[in-house]
This record gives sequence, structure tokens and C-alpha cells, in this order.
Amino acid sequence: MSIRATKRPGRTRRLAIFTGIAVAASVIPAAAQVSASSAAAEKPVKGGNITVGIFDQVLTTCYSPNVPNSALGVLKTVYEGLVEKSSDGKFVPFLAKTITSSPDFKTWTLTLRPGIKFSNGEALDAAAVVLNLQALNGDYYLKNTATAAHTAGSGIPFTANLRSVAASGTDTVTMTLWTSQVDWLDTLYASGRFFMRAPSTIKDKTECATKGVGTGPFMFDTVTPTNVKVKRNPNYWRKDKAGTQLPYLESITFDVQQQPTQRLNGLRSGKYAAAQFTSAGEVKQILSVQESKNLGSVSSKDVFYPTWWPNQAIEPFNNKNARLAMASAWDNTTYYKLRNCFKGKCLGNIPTSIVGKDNVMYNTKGFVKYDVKKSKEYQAAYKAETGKDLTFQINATLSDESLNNAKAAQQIFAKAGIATTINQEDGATQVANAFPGLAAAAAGKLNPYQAYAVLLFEGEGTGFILPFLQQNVFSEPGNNAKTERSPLLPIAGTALNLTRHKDTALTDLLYAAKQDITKARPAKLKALTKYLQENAVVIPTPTLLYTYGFGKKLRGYDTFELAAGKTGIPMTNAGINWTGIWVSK
Amino acid sequence: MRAKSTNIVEVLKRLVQLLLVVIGATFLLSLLLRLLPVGLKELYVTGLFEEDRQRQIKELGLDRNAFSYYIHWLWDFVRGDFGPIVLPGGGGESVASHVGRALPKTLQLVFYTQIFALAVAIPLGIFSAYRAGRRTDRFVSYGLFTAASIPNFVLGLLLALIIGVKLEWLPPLGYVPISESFVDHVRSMILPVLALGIPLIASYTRLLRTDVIATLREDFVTMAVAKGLSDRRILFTHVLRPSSVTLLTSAALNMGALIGGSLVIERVFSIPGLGTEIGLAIFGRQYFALQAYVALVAIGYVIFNSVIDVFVGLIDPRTRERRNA
Repeated sequence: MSIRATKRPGRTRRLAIFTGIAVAASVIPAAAQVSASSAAAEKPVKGGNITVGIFDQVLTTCYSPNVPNSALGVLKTVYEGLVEKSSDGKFVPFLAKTITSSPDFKTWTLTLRPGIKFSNGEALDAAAVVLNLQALNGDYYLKNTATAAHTAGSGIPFTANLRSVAASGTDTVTMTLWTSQVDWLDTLYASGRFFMRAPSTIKDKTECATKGVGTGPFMFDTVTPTNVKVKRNPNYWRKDKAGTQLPYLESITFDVQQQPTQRLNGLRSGKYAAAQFTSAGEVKQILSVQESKNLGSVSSKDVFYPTWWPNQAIEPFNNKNARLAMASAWDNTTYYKLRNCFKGKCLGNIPTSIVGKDNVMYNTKGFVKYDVKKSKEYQAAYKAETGKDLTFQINATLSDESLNNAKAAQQIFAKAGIATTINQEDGATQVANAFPGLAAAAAGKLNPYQAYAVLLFEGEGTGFILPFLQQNVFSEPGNNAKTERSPLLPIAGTALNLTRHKDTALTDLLYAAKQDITKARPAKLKALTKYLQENAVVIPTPTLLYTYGFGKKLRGYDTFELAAGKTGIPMTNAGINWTGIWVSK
Repeated sequence: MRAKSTNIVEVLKRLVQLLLVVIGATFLLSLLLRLLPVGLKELYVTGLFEEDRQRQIKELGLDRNAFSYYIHWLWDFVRGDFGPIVLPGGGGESVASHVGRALPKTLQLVFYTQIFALAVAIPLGIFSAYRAGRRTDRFVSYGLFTAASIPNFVLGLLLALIIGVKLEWLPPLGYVPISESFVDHVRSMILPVLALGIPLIASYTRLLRTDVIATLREDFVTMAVAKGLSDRRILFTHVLRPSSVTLLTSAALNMGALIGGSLVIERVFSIPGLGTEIGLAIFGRQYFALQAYVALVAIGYVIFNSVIDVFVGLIDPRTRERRNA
């Protein structure tokens, strides 16, 4: 992350429809200076009601549909997870006090911090954690099919490796996995998406959707899709270093304003105390915030890696030459200049691998570079095999910026002689089609798009990468869920497989790396990356950033103190943590 | 006595017309829902197991034929049950609760806009007609023509940028309820009202100007001048009333258009009104909600027009007499 003055850019939306998404994040080196709004050694002051501009609607406070970035930030004021991520990229206990694994990384045991309660008074005890984890992995749904459909979501394939979970006493929970997994904490973190909910709200779908209850610093006051007010949780479990009860703010109203110009206007005028931006189409606004002397800002780390996902189940990308032709024709540098830069300043980075340099999978080997000549050779090979010219459809959402991104991509492919058409649909529809949900997946309705560009990969680890590359999450060797989860297997197994591949070589490499618990794991992961790149399974695009801009009076946004004493990541795709934010008098 | 019974018949006729229009509009919409490229069952039925799916299908009324579905929908609608916001797995709020929150805000915006537009357009239209053909008339006409040619969302963004951000006179976005602060409420509504109202002023002024010019040529105006009445009294007491018919009809017709216009302006200014809800329903594929919203807009549209018809009869006896004849 970086503070405003360091001028490191931001990031973007999670399911960023890239053809419709300007992604970006270049590190702009700049003179280090502390943002004016956060520098002074003032003491935090309690109180204050602020309004914050965000860009994603909050459709529900429950599990599904999958919550997009800035809406996730709203939920995270109310909900907290068992683990958090520290600024050095490590996963540390948060609601949990300790988490340990067995030597084979198949059994994980956590103990809970004592005395934590949900804001409605229910205890965060071992039974509550067990219920939450069972709701995530589908066990709760299987036992309550008539009443618990609201809990059946993408958590099921994500936690496919969780065999069972059991409570010991009131504060100890044991998670047993099917196969060894050294990065189980990464899965539990799930990009900040797996948090603990009060048992009563899990059991009641309406309560879950409209009045979710968590352990967090705030509680939902009023919730509408475009406006959510959260108020201080008076019984929050954390205090600051001086012993003052957290949080400082009395309330936060999150206002959805999809127009980035208006969000910026709101911030500049003081109507918004803070506002979130994404480099997907909001480069100008982010740069404007970063250059403003009157505003502070904080940006995410460069760990969001959007990619093209050629669909291997349908033409033309069921043909390897077609994928390689597309990859060779894709000019990241030109796209970056067109869509990620404004007046000579840029956000994001031009990729040299499917993931960034900080990721354990980073590997430049096999990376398909822009080469029109090679692309034409692959196109010719494709035509020789199929008798067809290579042509495909790319997607754009209904926004102008998205369409501009798609047009830029169209021009780039046209340079290499590849004709493309643009399919313009609203973003929610595209996400619903590409990730059809468990019921639709059960009916065989999987991703219909030929080449979908979206942000799925993120982080330094593999927890939020490998699940999207698995042909069927239950097909992992050693995962014998077939008996216990049989009703869910055909439904949830392929829900995350956006490329719809059935590549056994890829599957073998993936599981060899995923299950490895030795020092050889990083090398195996890099080998997997090489395979993914040289076979154009996914094709990377410039990275994405997220930025929060702050008004003059807001303080405390540059640090996020973790419960374990470490410092957390101040800014992620979900925004900042609001626990320690305060308004200067 | 006879005139009174004629009026009652007229009102009854209006009510029947209103019902027919509303039923026609909502039934057509209900049929359209069934013609969507993505079927409602595919869209909303998310149960993983057959038992779940059948339960959801029944709950949403998707097991009925089009006519039966519509009758049930209509019955629920008149009882204030506008259906659910459908979330995977269920649990979403009712559409009625969304309407309850959003509709008052939109009505406020539309009402303020009409008041503002009429308050400016009436004196401006009369003045323009009074000075017809002169330099001031041309100046007003050109100015209004320019204002009318700017789309209201562009106007909204410009106003927000200049008045809200550069000058910091008014908030560039956000809605404050009257219950919270009357002054802040007014301040929060000024820019959206201006953005919606300025193009309307141009249209209203032009309409009124034309009618006033026509009225000024009537014999009774010549008579009033001959009697030595002041220009102001002639214009505002004798000319305005018969010249207002087209203006009022246009104002009523614009109520529906204003709700449509508010869809964009509410989003620009972050006002959580019906326009915003309609936008959310469209982009979020909440077709049950959309059906209710469209029905409400249709009802509002018809009611406004019916009321204005009656009102026009009141202010211009010639219209009433023509109908009775």
C-alpha cells in the first residue's frame, strides 16, 4: 500500500469486466511525504458522523450474491474474519487467538479470543464458528435444504478441501482437511470475504439479508442497495493503545455513487469525508485525488491481476492455436498507455507474468509476448486445423469506460488481423452468466463467453488463485467428498472453472503444487505458471489498483492495527478498515 | 342539477378510463416479462434440489399461466404487496418497502421541479409574449432555447461542478430528509431541481408565450384595454387563465417524463428515489420490482392527466361546455 504522498496508485473492482475495465496500477515513484491529513500527532477523538462515497451496490448483507469490492468494504465494518492479513503479507489470527496446523497440514486447530460477542449479544464461541464454517462449505445447507439456500454460495467450492469441523469446549475448533494445504489460512481469509456471522442471522434468511450481525466495530442501522448507514457497536471488543473503546466514529453512511466524477465532486466539496475509486475506468479521478493538496489518499498494493479467460469448452478457444494467437496479439503496453495513463501518469503495471512479482507463482517463463508475426502464424495454424478465420467476442458493460476499454482491446486485436465483436451487457448479467451459480451450474449452464476479461487472481499467495484453475474442486486426489457431499459434487465442483478446461496435464501440475508441503512447493507453483502461460490458459492484462481519497479532517487511515499487535494492510480492494478512523476537530 | 350529474358521470368515465389504462399497461408488462430472453425461472429459481426449485417456483407464482399470474399479481398489487426483491436463496426485502422509501423522495423532486419551472415560466412566458418580437423577447427565447438543448444530466454535472465544488455554495450530491433538517433538505434539492427544471422552463415558457399571444388578440382583451384596465391586470387576471390550458396539460404530461428524467438526475445527485430504484431494478434484473414501479408510474401518469383534465375544465369553462355539448 502507499500513502497519498508516495503516489502509489490504487486498484480496481473484483469482478472487473475488463474489456470493460480499465485496469491499472503503475507505481509512480514520487517524493515521500506524509499526507497532510494524517501527519500531525493529534490524539484520536471520539464521535463524528461521516458520509463515504463508494461505487458498488450493497444488495444484501448475507452470503450471496458475491459481494463486489466497495460493497465488501461496507460489510467489513460489521463483520470480521478469523484471520487477517498483515502488511508483510502474512496471515495472522484476528478473531482467533491462535491457529496451528498439524505437521501434515491436514488438521488445523484454532482457539478463540475470550469474551468476543456479536453486536446482538450472542457469543462468538466454538459452536458459532463451527456453524459459520459449515454454512460456508455447504454442510449446513445439506442438513437444511428447505431453509438454508441463502447460505449456498461460492464458499462451497472455495472450501472444498474442508472435510469436517468440530468444536472442543467453548473456544477451540478443529478443522480437518481432505488433503494437505499449507495455505489454508489464505483460504480462510478469502480476500477478506469469509467472516463470522451471528448464528441467529445465519438461520434466518431475511435477517441474514437485511440485518446482518457481526462482531465488528459497527452495526447495520439502515440498509438499502444505494445507501447503508452503520452505527457504532458500543460493545466492540477492541480498544486502542490508550485504552479508549473503539471505534471512534459514531456512524458512517456509505453512499453509492457510480459516477466517478460525482464521487470526486462529493469528496472535494466535503459532502463525502472519503471516497473509493478503482483504476478500472477511474484513472483520472485517482490521479486527481493523489495530486490534490487538500486531499489525502491511500492506495492498494499492486496485487490484483486481471486476466483474459479464453473459454476452452467452445469455439474458437477450444483450440490451442487460437489461444496462442490471441495471447500473441494482445499488446499490454499499448493497452496500458491507452487506458491506464492520463497526461503522462499511469496507474498499475504492465504484466510480465500472470501474477505480480510479489506472488509466489510469479514466473516469466512461458509468458507469451506481444508478437504480431507469431500471432498470424498461430492464426494460420488455427485456420489450417478448423478452416475458419479467428474471430471472437469480447465483453463490455453498459458504462462508457467499459465500452472504451473494449474498443481499445478491439483495436489491438485488429492490428494482428483478428476481428472481434463487442457484446455489451450490464455487468451484473455478465457476472451471473460467467459464474452461473450453483443451480445453473447443476443444469449445465456454465460460462458462455468466448473470452471473458475479469479480475480473479489476487494476493501474494495461492488461496485466491488456484480454485479458479481447478477443473472440478472435488476432483483433487485425496478429496473423497464423493460420499459425504454427493449432492453437491456435480453442482459446485465446476462453478469456479471459468475457462471450462478439462486439461489433465494442468490438473496434475496444479495438485502437485497445491498439496506440496515441502520447500519444493514454490518451484512447482512456478512450473504451473509456466504451463498456464505457454498454453495461454489465461492471458494477463495490466494490474488493477484501488484508492481511497480522504477529506482534510479524517485521520487514522494510514495505519490499521491488528489485534495481534501487527499492522494490517491499510487498503485493499474492499477499502480501508474503519475501526481506527477519526475526525479531527 | 343536470350539470352536477353530468360532472359525476364525467368523473366516473375518467375513473373507468384510468382503470382500463392501468390494467392494460400492467397486463402488457406482465406478458413482456414472460417474453424475456432469459426466462424468469432461469433467473430467479436458484434452489439446488428439485424440491427447493418447485417451492421457489410456487412462491414466485411462476407455475401459473400468464392470465392467472396477472390476476394474482393485480390482487397483491392493490393490497400493497408489490412482490419481492429476489436474491439467490431468498431473504430480500419487499418491493413495497423500497417503494415506501423511494417514492416520497421522487415525488418531492418532481413536485419541487414543477413548482420551480412554473414559477419561473409563467411570468417569463407572459413577459415574452407581452414583448413579442422585441429584443428582450428574442433574448429570452434564445436563452431558453439554449438551456433546453442541454441534456439535464449534463446540466446536473455542470451545476454540481461549478456550484457544488468550485463555489461550494450547495452540496453537489446527496439527499437530506426534511425531518433531519429543513434548511439542508432545501439545499440538497436545489441543484437537482435546477437540472430537471431548467429545460422544462424553456418548454413551458414557449408554450405559454404562444397561447398568451393568441389570447391577446381576442376581443375581450380589446374590450379590457378599452375599459382602461392596466396591462398587468389584463395579463395576469384576464389573459393568463385562458392561456394556461396548454401549459397545464403539458405540465401534467411532463409528470411522467419527469419521473423518467429523475432516473438519471437521481443517480447523478445520489438521491435514493424511484428513478434510482428503477435503474437498480433494470440493471439488477429485478423484474418483479420493475413491474411494480412501472405500474406505479403508469398510475401516476394517468391520475395526473385525469386531474389536469378536470382542472382544465374548471379554469376554462369553454372546455367543459364543449364536452357537455
